[in-house]
Amino acid sequence: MTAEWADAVGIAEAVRSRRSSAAEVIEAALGRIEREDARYNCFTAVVAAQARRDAARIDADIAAGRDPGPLAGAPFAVKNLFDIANLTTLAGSKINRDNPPAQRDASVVAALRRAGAVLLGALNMDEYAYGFTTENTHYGPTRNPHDLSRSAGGSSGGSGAAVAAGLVPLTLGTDTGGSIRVPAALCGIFGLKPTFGRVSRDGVALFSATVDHVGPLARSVRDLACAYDLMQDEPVSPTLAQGIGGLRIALAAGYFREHAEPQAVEAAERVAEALGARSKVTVPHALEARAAATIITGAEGAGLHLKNLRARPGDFDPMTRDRFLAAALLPASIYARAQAMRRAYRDEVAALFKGIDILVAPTTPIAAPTIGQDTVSLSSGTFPARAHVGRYTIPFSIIGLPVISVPVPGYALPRGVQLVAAPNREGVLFRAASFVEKRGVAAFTSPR
Amino acid sequence: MPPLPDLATLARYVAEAERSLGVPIDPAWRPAVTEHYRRLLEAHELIENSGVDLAATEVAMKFEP
Repeated sequence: MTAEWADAVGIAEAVRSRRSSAAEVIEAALGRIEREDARYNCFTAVVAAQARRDAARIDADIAAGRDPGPLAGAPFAVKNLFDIANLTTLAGSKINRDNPPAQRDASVVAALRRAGAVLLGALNMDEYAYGFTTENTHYGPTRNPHDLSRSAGGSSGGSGAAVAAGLVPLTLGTDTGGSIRVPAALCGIFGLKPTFGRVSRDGVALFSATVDHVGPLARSVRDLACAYDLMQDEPVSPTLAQGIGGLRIALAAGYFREHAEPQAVEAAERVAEALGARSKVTVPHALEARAAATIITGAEGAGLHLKNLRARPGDFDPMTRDRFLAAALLPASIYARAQAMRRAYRDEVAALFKGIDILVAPTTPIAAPTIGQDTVSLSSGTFPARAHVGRYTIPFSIIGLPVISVPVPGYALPRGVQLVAAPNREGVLFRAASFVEKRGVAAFTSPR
Repeated sequence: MPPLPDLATLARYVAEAERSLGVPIDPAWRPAVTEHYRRLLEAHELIENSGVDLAATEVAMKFEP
């Protein structure tokens, strides 16, 4: 595999064993961004000078016999809602350009840099993370490396496309209703949304405080595991070789097979079959959970931005402004009822997971929509394209369950499948994701 | 649950809420905001018709999975 497509762990192994230097790796990655990113529009800032300094320090550490860390010399980048010291945290907005630069890196950015990973810059996203397609009016749309006329997904669209395009092997994103899993699926890479609360949000601009999650996107399961291990306290990398013996795996039925392209359902069936799934289960009240999430995230986001909605609504991206304004007007009682629905649904799904370890479901009902596409027509009806992309991801994030989206090759456009577990059971997800990756059922496919 | 109000009534709700909350809505944006407001009420209606006893369910502002 060429350096362009090597994963972060592989790059670090080469740097640590002196088969290549961190400086060479980082120069090559900066060169790719310089030459190619105009096509994709992933990066909103590149921190080249800092990256070169970090690479030189890593090479000096290795030369002096010091441990440079498990991700030594591996390039990474982060959605532009993570604080990066000395950069203003845009969160996809024009309004935040008026803010002073961040004083220090977000905790997770600092953790990866301490492990030797080299930060290359900040990545495009939907304004304030309120979207599924990264069609950002202020900074332009991020384009899908597999088809430049199509969306990279969102809201961590820059994070998905940068990995799929071979610009960097590893990125960080956030996920409120699917914003890691949707770009991972539509760009054909792996994405992890951990259990709510497992990974620090310190130094991260929030969208919806009771729902936001931080997680990695990558081209291999071991990269996801390595990044996750560096961001929290319970390592999952040892689980990758454990196989799936003893795991009870089920395919999601009902809601998670409805209003979808046939290929989306088929991809989930392929993964379920490879994992030896023995049953199909219906997730109760998934539709109502999605409704609750729509209310909760809208209301919390509008509350967060209420001052600016009053003072300078014209400076918001029209793609988010109208939804924020509508949510700002909702009665509090409606928000409280949505929270009650969420709690009841959480209990129902917890009961379901007493009988299974992993639930398999498509990540998105459709492949990447074209940029500017307002509706999608399926055999069951016509739907708003941008909202419909999140149909299958929202019911899991609203109750904080851990999910890995794996890419399923063999289709004209990338497809993703979710592996879902009970809270704090990331280990079983990594066992299953590694199992299907080793058998080629899940794999990154280069767009070139 | 009674049926959702029609769009004209919804537009009046939006205008009243806009005044009471002090959020200015440009007339050009009003149709889109009203449509999004309708979708939020539709979501609320789904929850109310879910059959779940919401009154007996604890509401937690600090969510724990």
